[in-house]
Amino acid sequence: MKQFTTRFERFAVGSLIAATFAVFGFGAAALAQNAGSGDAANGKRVYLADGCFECHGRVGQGGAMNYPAPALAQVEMPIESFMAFLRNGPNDMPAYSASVGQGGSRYLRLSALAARAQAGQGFSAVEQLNAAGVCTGFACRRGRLKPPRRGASE
Amino acid sequence: MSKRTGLPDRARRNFLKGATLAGAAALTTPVAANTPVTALPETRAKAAPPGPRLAAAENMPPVKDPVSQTTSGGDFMVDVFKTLDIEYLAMNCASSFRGLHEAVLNHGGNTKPEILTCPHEEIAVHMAQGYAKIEGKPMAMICHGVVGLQHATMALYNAWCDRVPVIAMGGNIIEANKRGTYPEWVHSAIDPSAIVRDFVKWDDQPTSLQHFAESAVRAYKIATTPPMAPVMLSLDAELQENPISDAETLRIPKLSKVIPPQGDSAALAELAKMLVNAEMPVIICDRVARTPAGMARLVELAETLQCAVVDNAGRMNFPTRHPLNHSFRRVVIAQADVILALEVNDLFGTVNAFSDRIVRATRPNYKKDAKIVTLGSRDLYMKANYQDFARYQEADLSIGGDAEASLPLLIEQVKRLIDDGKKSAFEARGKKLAAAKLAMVERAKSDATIGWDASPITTARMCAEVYGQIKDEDWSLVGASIRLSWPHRLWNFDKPYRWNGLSGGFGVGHNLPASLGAALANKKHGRLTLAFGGDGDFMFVPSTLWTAAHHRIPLLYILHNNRAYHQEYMYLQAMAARHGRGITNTEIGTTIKDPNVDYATVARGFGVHGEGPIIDPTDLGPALKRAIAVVKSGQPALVDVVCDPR
Repeated sequence: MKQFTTRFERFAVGSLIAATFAVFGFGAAALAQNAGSGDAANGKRVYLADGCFECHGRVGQGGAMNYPAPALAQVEMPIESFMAFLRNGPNDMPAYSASVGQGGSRYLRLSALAARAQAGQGFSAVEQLNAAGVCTGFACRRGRLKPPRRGASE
Repeated sequence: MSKRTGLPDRARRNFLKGATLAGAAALTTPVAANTPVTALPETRAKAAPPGPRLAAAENMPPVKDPVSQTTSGGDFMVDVFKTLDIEYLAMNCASSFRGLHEAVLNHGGNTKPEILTCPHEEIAVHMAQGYAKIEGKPMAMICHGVVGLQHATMALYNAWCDRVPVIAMGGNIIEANKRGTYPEWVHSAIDPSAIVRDFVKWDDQPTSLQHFAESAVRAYKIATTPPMAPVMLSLDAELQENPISDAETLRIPKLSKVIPPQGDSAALAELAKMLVNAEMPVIICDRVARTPAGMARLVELAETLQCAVVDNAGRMNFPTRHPLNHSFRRVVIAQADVILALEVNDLFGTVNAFSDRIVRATRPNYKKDAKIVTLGSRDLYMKANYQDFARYQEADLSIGGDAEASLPLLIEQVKRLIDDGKKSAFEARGKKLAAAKLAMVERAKSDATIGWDASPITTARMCAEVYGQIKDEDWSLVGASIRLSWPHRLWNFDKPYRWNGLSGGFGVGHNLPASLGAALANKKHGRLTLAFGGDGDFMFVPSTLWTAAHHRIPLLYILHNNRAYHQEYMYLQAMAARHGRGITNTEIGTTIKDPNVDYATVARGFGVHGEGPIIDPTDLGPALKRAIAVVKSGQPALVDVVCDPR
């Protein structure tokens, strides 16, 4: 863990946050304050170049490795939780740089607006579900991901 | 082998021929330099008078090699197959079973069994695996001595892990002096089945035709007795080819199938009590339904208890849209106070979470005080070497018996214990579960819309497009390299043939040929068979498509083309992440790019209708429509869909 000195450290936290926005294809002004100071284009590049999409899909639709990987486009979570997942994810989630997580905005909204841009005909169903507060995504609790559980043991 | 009537057997024939030639040579050939001379010429002893055999050999014209025969052991073997009602013999032709091959065609009329020409033995076994799970009975396959069986081996392992009966056979030449050219030596073995003995249930090498008949019937019986598994017979080429010498005594024994064992009635009564008294019983199932009755019985048990069912989908166990199907809501396992595991292959992996980290660890996903009961045949038979039995899971009660056979008694016991109070409590539990299921389905529908128009096409969009076009047909999904994902979340699997399970051993190269075998079984029922396959799997056995075209087996094969062995790609990413090295190099050895494979063209080369590569999702619907029309006309078709990784 202490040797994480490569790719992720080359990017500011805001960059990664922006990455998720950019990948899911939205850049609405309303979200600008949540995107931190990151560069969305650069963030998108990180999301794709560092392989987040390999498990979570290019548009955050979710996927699987040993276990299902959350549909990030459906997830809304506190930035602290997001960083906790990156650093020390659950189960088979690879761990990424410890430098990520310095600052950033309070919430990372990845869901409904991403769907607005990408989902086409399916958007209304997504929006309705989100509006209804229905849990949307793996390990999702009331619309927000909890920090991962640690201490896997017998 | 030597007792033959009518025609001289080859052993005797060759001996006489050798004697004849030796006598002739003695008359014409000078004494060789190394011939021992033990007496002076003038004192040379008189030769002993010839015995009757030598005299006959020297005074009669040489015995000719017989050039024809009226019977063969292969003919009798075919009669045995017909008695067992074996419909197909999948094979790649080889000299070590040429006798049987010819007999199938000309004695048997190429029906029961009908030969399926497979370009690889792995295809032959996998076809048999897929066929058995739809048809409910085994197919036979035969392979060449030694090398053919080596090709078939991985597929037999898949069938073993999947607990599927396959009658596997291999040619051999047992007697060393009967082996001719060098290839016959390298394709013969003392114990050819040794290579597969760890993952077949039984094997034999018959040395007479009566022995073959009894072993073939025994093999069938053993293979189809739960827990089912492949069996292996090594067939001597001489036995197949030579005339039948003892036709009057040969007899094909009667097959009496073993009635699958039912769990102990007292133990089932105890289980019924636990289930009825539980607050939150949960049923986990995997390979329960081995006949069409299995699904109905499981539904009856679940509905009687109004309890959640988690289906690992090793068979078509439980309707996907049933309100009690919570396979994609496994939180119910953590809530359970009684867990009933029915024919579950990997129970430990089902009720524990695994962390694929530097320090690999697991943790239970169930309550500490939850009672676990297993009911199945898995504990009744296993072997040591290959580790398909998975990690040992503690249980509070383990009932040995076939789950499907045990369900009627269990249901009866449960019903006996339910009073009005229980009934209303169960109904309330069922309503809650139904509501949670409904929410889960709605969520899945919304998840499926994410990236609807994206390219590469999302797996969800691909599945939605396919379902839109087949849902009103009598469809059967028989392969899913895309894991248990969108179809099982959203499609209506409501009949026993809608699904037939997974590979068992996760040996790659299974999906395409096993799907074809299942399609063959579905053909006579007029079902529309389809499968999702991975490009990596396809690359192992692409010539399966030729078999599909040659035998006109209607199969819609949808290739989920992510241009990678993607599971391994993700694993490499995880390894690189451990070191913080990035994924720049992880495409090496894990991807199928540069050049991209044009699978539709490959399909057309094998005589199969090919569509694709489909890159734009709007092109997918029309391509599927064309392909389905081909399949409905009785031919196979492939649609290559360039997809996002998962």
